[in-house]
Amino acid sequence: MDIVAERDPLLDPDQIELLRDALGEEELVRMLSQLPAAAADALQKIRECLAAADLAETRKAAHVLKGFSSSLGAARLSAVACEIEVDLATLADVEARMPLLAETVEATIAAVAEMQEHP
Amino acid sequence: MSNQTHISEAALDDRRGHDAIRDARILIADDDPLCRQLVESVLRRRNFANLEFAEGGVSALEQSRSFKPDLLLLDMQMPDMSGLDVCRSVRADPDLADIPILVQTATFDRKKMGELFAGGASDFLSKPVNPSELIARVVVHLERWNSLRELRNYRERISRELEAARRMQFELLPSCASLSEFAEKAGMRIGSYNRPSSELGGDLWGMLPIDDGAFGMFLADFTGHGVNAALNTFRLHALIHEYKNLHHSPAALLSMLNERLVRLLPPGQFATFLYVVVDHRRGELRFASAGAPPAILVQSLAGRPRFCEGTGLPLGIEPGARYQTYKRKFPEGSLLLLFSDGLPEYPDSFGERIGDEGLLNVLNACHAGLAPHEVIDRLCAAAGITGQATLPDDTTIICIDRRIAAPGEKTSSVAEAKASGSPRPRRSSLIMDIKHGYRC
Repeated sequence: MDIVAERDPLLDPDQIELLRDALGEEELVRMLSQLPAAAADALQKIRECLAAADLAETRKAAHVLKGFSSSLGAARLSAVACEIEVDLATLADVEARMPLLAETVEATIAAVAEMQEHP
Repeated sequence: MSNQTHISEAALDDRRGHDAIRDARILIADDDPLCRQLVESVLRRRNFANLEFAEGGVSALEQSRSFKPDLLLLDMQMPDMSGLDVCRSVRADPDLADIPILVQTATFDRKKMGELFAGGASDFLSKPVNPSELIARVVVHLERWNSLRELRNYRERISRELEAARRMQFELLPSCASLSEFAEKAGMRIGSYNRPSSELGGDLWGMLPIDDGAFGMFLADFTGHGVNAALNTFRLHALIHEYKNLHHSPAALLSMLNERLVRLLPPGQFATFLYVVVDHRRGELRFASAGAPPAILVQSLAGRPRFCEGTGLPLGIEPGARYQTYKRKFPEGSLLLLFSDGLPEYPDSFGERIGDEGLLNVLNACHAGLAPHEVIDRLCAAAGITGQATLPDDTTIICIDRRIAAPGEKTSSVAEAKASGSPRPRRSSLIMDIKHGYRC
């Protein structure tokens, strides 16, 4: 596990709690249920941009992933996306980060499923 | 539940009846559908129902123009047009220039934040979305926006009403046509100037027909300015016209008006009042004063101006106050000037006042060929009263002129008009100018 990802939990309990207070349990679950598909789409988009060797579009796709994942409390996924958007300078650097990103997407999806089963 | 959320909810509960906030139109602009949904869910949960959504910067701008939101929630980074550019464009649109714009951003870059506020953002919302912060900022900006709008609407309504009241008050004054008619019948010229210090004033003057050989002229000045003083002028106008049988007798009229006003006016409100019967048949003035600045009389073409002193308590102060009728000769070649204290006490740009002596000096220097409105213009100029100047006090000047117009004079004298057989020339620009005063 990478240092960047390690320092953030998969799901940020504080953010989740804020959302629960604001939305109620049912609406929170409904919102979180959209996270897996959106994260998978974003991952796919980043892969396509990489394949097209378009660093700017790669960063934009990472920005979108960062935005919704952070707001929905997916802290680790947001941190990895943020690194791709802001810190990595080359396509090769991003390429090297893709396994971690994919792994984090999967782990986040699993964590969301777990939370939905045991709220 | 966090304290912050609790406070927001409590605050919102207090405002539950605040339909304006709940019905506010909110446009949410974000290219990410999940973020739009999240913001929507938070707002709907707090009963904000009038929401629209834009999927990018360009559509945010277009929908701002069509939806006319009361608040715009704008994502900073959108692919087609940045939040900053949307912000600038919205501010450049006069219809939207004042709406609250909350920009959502994850940045803490000082330079970017500076650009954001310089570009017209009202506030920012941090990302990730904090629901409590979102609600608190939305509420505070909508309240501010509503207050601003209510204040503007109130101000516009009051302005319209004051304007209507001002026109009504103006209609209490003799029209230029009736003034000319009076003057023509009496073989004299009359000029007038009346300008309130604010939208409404406490000065009132008027002309009262008595018979073919005489008319009355009064000038009242109520304490204070504004609505209170103006309402009192309406009262006084009604009273004056109620006592037509006393119009020939200055002292009797003042006594009666005083008795009525003493009962009507609250303590601290009163009026100075000067009433002059201009008896042109006998060549005589009969006047009474209730604490008013004395009129200035010039009794011949070569005569020197002198004050017509007369004493009496202002109207509305003491029941049973007594007034005296004074007489002066007013032969052909005479000139009479009535004025409220706004004229001698006007502080010019150096803070100097023309004072009584200054008025005498100006009149002394006015040759007989000057028309009454020209005499008034010279007095105003000498006092420092210009069209742009704000008057600290309501100001009225009336000039009654029995002098013969000098040969070659180009002003609109009745004599000229009569001699030529043509209709009286109209000086439309001098007749009525709400900002700069009413003049005839």
